[in-house]
Amino acid sequence: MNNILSVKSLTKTYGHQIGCNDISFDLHEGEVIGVVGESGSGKSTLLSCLAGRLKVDKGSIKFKSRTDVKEELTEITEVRRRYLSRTDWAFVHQNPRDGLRMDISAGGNITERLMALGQRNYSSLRSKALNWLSKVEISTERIDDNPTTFSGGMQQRLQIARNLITEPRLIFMDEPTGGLDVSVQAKLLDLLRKIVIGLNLSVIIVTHDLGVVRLLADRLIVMKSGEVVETGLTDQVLDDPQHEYTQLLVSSVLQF
Amino acid sequence: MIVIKNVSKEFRLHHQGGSKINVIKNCNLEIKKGECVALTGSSGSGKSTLIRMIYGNYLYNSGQISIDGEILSFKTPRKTIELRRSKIGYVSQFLRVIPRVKTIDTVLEPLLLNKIGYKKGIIKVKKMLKELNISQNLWELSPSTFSGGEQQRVNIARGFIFDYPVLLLDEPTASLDNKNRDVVLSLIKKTKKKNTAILGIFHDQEIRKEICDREIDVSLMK
Repeated sequence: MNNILSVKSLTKTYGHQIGCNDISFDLHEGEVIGVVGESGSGKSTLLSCLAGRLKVDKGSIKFKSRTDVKEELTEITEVRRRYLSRTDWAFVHQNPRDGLRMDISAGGNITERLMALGQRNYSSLRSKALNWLSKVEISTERIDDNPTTFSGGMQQRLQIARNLITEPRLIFMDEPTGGLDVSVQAKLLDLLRKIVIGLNLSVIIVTHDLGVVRLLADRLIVMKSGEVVETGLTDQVLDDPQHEYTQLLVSSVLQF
Repeated sequence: MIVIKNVSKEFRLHHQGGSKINVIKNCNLEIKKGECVALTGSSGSGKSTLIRMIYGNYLYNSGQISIDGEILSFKTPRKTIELRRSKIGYVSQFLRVIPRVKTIDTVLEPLLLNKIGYKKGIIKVKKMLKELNISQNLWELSPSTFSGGEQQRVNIARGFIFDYPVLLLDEPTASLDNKNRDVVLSLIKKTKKKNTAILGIFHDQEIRKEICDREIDVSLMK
């Protein structure tokens, strides 16, 4: 099968508190899965476990590497995890300040991953940085400015450029549009959509914004209290929700 | 082409006293290639529900729906996506606009998904938009600001641009003037000749007479 990620019975607890319980799903290459649920439902815990930022208590996460080898992520070394997180994965944080270095220039931010992988040719790095700035619709004149001088939406787009420059295959997104005003959200969503389709990326996107998943996700996972309560085709789950909690979630969205 | 066997659908509303609404019971229906079938019945009788079940948008509680021999089930969402890409065209009542995506790209998308090249595709799209009287200065704009009738025509263009073997039409002519209504009717006739199986909801009795081979009353499926 062309699963890039297979998750089986993943469980994570914080003492007595359940983070996420017995989660299983597969992610195909080129597929976008949305994870929705209220705050505290365990969606960010799940994402952090998958990206190796949290230690898993039980269960298995198998990742297919570029050489088609299945790696068990709960057993890999820290060195390997760091390597994968620089080359094969990207993690887009809700708050761009968590994913950017605020005290180095935009260009420096974009090319840091490449430099960490040993690229040293300054002019090639700079032209790649310029190329990615224009891809994420930030004026190339801003290449030498620090992200502290950028607006929230620009910071978020810079974070995306910084993450995608190594052409990762698997993207984790944690509320990528949270905290942005709606016009900036639309721009960011359009950008994400183009990049995801254009580069055939596999994505797990955690959000509580149902509009975002309708636009981006092929399939949906609905979580409540650390458990998966419903899964399915995105528009089917949103238009014909079966579980009590999903119905509440969908009917709570304001229509205008 | 579309085979529906003993399909039933009920909605259970957990937050409204757990009430159950039986919409469709034991529906049996077969639509062959080149056939155009109209669904009739009063508003709320389940016409759109049936269409949405065939598109995989609503799930069904029992029975079986298959498209060109392939079973459509909520348990296999990836298969549904694949069937939608290659086999099922759907014109809904309203266009779901993606902000910032141009009209021309909105209509082109089904062709690109079916590996029809950009150059060849764009010629087809332009021809289709012209046929549907969408003025050329709108092509590069997102349909989000268009009038209801213009949006509906973009929606129709998107549904008819690729030769899907199955076409589902949910009141495609509802918000159109007579001139554009006639364009859509001729599109449907042309599509029928390509051996497409068409299932639609048309409120206008004249339209049904003109293009449909049969009528099925959904209110009897109870």
